[in-house]
Amino acid sequence: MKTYQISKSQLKQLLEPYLTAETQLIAPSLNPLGLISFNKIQNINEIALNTSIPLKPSKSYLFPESSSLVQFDEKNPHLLESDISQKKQMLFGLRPCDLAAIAYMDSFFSSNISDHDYVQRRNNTLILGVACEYPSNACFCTSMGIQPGTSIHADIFLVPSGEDFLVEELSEKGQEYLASISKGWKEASNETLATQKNEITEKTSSKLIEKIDLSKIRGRLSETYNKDFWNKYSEACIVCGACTFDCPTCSCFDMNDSMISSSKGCRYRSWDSCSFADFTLHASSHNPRSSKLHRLRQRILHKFQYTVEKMDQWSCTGCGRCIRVCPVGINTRSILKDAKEALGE
Amino acid sequence: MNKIVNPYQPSYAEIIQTKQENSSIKSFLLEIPEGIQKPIMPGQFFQLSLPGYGEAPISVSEINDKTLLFCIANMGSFTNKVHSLGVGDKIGLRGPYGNGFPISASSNSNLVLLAGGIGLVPLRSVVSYFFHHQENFKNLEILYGAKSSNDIIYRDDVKQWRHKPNTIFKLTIDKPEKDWNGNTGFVTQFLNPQSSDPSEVLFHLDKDFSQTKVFVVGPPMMLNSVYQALTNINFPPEHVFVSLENRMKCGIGKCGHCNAGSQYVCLDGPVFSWKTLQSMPNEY
Amino acid sequence: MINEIRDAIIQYLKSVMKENDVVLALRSSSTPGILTPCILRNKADLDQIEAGFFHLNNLAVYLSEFFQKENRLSTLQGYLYVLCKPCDTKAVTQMISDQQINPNKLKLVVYACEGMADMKKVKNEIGLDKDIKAIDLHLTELSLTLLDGSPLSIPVSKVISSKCLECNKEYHLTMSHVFVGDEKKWKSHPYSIATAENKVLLQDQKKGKDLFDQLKAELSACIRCNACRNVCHACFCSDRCIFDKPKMTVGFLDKEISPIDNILFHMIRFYHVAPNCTACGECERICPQGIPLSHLYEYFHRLMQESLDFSAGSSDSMRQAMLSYRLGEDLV
Repeated sequence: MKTYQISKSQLKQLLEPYLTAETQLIAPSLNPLGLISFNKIQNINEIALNTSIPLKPSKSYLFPESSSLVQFDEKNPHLLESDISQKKQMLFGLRPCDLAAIAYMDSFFSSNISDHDYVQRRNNTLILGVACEYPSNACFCTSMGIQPGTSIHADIFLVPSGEDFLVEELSEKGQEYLASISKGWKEASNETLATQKNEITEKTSSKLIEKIDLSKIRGRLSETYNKDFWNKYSEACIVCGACTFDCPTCSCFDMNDSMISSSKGCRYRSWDSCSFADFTLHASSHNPRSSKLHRLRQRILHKFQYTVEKMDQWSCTGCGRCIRVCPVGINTRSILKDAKEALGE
Repeated sequence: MNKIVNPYQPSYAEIIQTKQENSSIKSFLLEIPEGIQKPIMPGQFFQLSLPGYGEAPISVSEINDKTLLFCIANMGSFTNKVHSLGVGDKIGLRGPYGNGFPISASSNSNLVLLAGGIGLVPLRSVVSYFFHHQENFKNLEILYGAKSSNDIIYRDDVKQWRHKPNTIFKLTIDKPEKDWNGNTGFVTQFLNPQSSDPSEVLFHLDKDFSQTKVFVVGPPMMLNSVYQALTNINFPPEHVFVSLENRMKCGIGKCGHCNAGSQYVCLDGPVFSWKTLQSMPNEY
Repeated sequence: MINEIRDAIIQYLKSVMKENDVVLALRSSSTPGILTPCILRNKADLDQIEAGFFHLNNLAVYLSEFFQKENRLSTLQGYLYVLCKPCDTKAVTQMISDQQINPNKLKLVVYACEGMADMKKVKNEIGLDKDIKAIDLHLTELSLTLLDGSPLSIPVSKVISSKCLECNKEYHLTMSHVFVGDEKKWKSHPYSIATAENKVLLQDQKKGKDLFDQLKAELSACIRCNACRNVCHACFCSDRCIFDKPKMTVGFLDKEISPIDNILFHMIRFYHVAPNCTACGECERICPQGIPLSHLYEYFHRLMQESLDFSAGSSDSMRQAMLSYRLGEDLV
C-alpha cells in the first residue's frame, strides 16, 4: 500500500470524480443553520476541514433517518421489492472516532442476518478519513483507545502535513481508486507518514480536557447497576433523545407501514431511541424500562458493557457529541468517572 | 455483484383453516410458503405481517411438514385485522427466528411444561413435537394455568393429550367458579413435593432432577412464582428454560428493541435458561 | 452581582428549608456553559446550586413529571422550592391554569435576573476550529479559556440571548413565591447593555406560498426526534401523545421524514400548544439540528395574541383560549 504527498490544490483531484450527477460527495460543511455537519457538496470550496469535529455524524448517509425496507405494490399486492439508493458516494473528512464508529456499524449490521439496506449503501461508499487536529471540549477518544492521528478503518486516510496532505492507501478499494487518479503524485515514505501521525496524535491529545483510564473497569460496569450515582443524571434528563440521534454508533430503529392506498405503500424504518419511554413497551403493557433511570443506565451500559460482552469492543468512540448536544449537561465522561469511583478504581 | 437478500421481505402464506379458541385467541393454519428455511423448531417465532398494519412476532404452535399453526391473541390493530381474515386469505410471514426450546439437548429427558395463560401457545409446539418423536424422550408433563374457564384454549387437543402414553396433563384456573370442579389456584400448586400422584415426574419419576427439563412460558408474575417454587425444591436453574415476551420489531437483532443486557431476545432467545436470565439486568 | 445572586439564593434556601422540603434547582455540569437540573433533598447539598447567566433551562418542564410520575406531590411532606427566572414563572402559572400542577406545595424562588447566555452566540465568537475549556462571568465580560489554553474575553452584550434583550422585567405571580435580590432596583434598571435585534425570522408580510416555502426550507433539517415536544412545558399529553402512534393505527402522521410531514408535525404540535405556549424558547435551544423553532412558533404565537387577545402565563385561572369562547369576541 502506497502513501502519497499532495498539495492542497491537488486535493481537488481526489474529490472531483465524485462531483457528478450519478455520484455524491459528502463532506463537512457549514449548513444553513450555522452548524458544521456532513452535507452533500456541490462545490469543493464548501468543504470545511479546519474546524472542531462536526456536531452531526455522517451516519445518515449509511443509515438514513428513515428508509423504506419493503414496498407494497397495488398491481402485485404480494410482490415485494426494495428500493435503495444505488448512487456511489464518497464520505470525506471522517476523523478516527467516526471511522471507528463506522467499523462498529459495519460489523453490527452485517452480523448474523445481514441488513441489506445498510450493506448495499456501504458497498457503494468510499471512505476517506482525515487525522484530527481540532477536537471539541467534549472529545474523549483517547479514553476509548482511539488515537486522533491515525486509523485503519478507512479506504484512504489523509494526514495534514504543513501545507500538504499525506494520502495513505488502506484498502484495496482505496488503492484501486487512487490508481485511477494519482497521476503525477509524489510518493512519501512510511516513516514520514508515521512521524506525522504521531505528531498529530500527541498535539491533539494534549488539547483534550481529560483522559480517563477505563482499563480497570472494562467488563465490570454491570456491577454499577444498583449504585446511586445514576440518579443525579437521570433526574435531569428530559428524554429528548438528542444524544442517541447524534451518536455515530446508535442504530436503533422503529418499523411501521405507510400506505398511500389500500394496497400500495411501504414498510419503512425510522430512527428510534432507547431513551424514549415506549421503547420497551410490550404488547401486554408491561414496560421493563419505565423509568428514566433505567433507560439512561441502559444506554450507558449498552455502549460500555454489553457490546464489550458480546463483541469484545466498546461501542463508544469518544466523539463527545452526546455531551455537546445535551441541553441539560449530562456528561458521559462524568458518568464514567462516577462509575470508576463506585467500583473503587 | 451479488444481490443482497432483503431480510425484511416477507413471503405470503395462505390460510387453510381457522378456529376460535377462546374469546380473544384465534388459530390459523397456514401453508408454509416457498423459501422458508427449515427445520422449524418449537419455541421459534415468525414475524407475521399485513401491508398497512405492520408486523407482530408470533410463536409457532404446531409444526407440520407443509403447514404451521399460529394462535393469535387479539391485542392491537394488527392482530385485530388478522382476526378478520378467513380461509384463502394471505398473511405475510418471515422467519423462523429465535433459538427455540433446547429440544435436541433434551433427548432422553422428561419434559415438564409450565404454561400460564397464553403461554400454552408456544408450548403446544413442544407437545406436538414430543408426540411425533416420542422415542427420543421419556415422559411429558403439561401443567396449564388459565385465568378462568372461559380462557382455556386447545380444549379438543387437551382431551387427546390426556390419553397419550407417558403423558400427564394438569389444569387449573386462577379462582373458583360455579360449575368448575377442577383445580383452582396458580399452576405452581403442581410443584408440590408432597404430591401423591405416582406418574408425576418431578417428585416420583425423577427425584434427583437429573433427567428433567422444565420449560416455562407465562406472564411476568407467573414466572416469578414459578421461580420461587422451583428454587424452593432446589431444581437446577440450568435445566429451566423460559420463553421471554418482548417488544420486537425487526426480529433479526438490528432494531435494538429487544436488547436485554448483552443478549437480543430475537436472536439469542426468546428461550433462555434461568441461569442466563439471572445474569441479565434486573429489569428482566 | 451574578455570584452574589447565587449566594443570596443559597442563603435564603438554607434559612427556610425544612426536613421534608425538596429543592428543584441547577448545579454545574462538566460541560462549560451548561447547568444540570438537580433535585436536592438535604441542606448540605444546597451549596451545589448555580444560578445566573448560564441559567438557560426552564425548570417548569420537570414539574409535571414530578407531579405525575416520579414523585406524586401528595407524598411530599414538605414544600417544593423551584428556582425560577422571572420569565420562567409564566410557564409555572400557565401549568397551574392548565391544571397540570397543584400550587399548594409549591414555592417559587424568583431572582433578579440580568439575562442569560446564548451559547450558540458564544460559539460563534470563538471560531469554528476552537472550543471552550472553561467559562466564567465577570461583571459585563465573559471570560473564556480555550482548549489550547489561550484566554478570550467577550462582552456580555454580544452573547446575551435575544429573548432577554426584549425583556420588560415584568412577571405576575399570585402563587406563593419569594424574590431574591432587590426587586425595585431590578425593575427600575432598564436593560441597556445591548441593542435589540430584529429577531423575527418569518416576516409578517410573508403569506401563502412564500410562507409555505420558507417553512419548508427551515424545517427540512428536522429529524423528527421529538425533543422540542419533550422539553415543552405546554405539551402535557405525555404517554398519550398522538405523534407516538403511527398513522397505521390512530395517528395523524407517519414517522417518515419528508418536508411535508415535517411541516405538519410542527404545525399540529404548535396549534395544540399555542394557548399554553409562554415563548420560553426551550424548543429552540434544545433542537439538535439548530432549527430556530422559537422564532418560527413566535409568528403564530403573535397571530394568536392579536386575534384572540390572549397571553399565556399571565394568570393562573384563565379560560383556555382555544377551548372556550365568549359570546361576543371583539377581535375575531
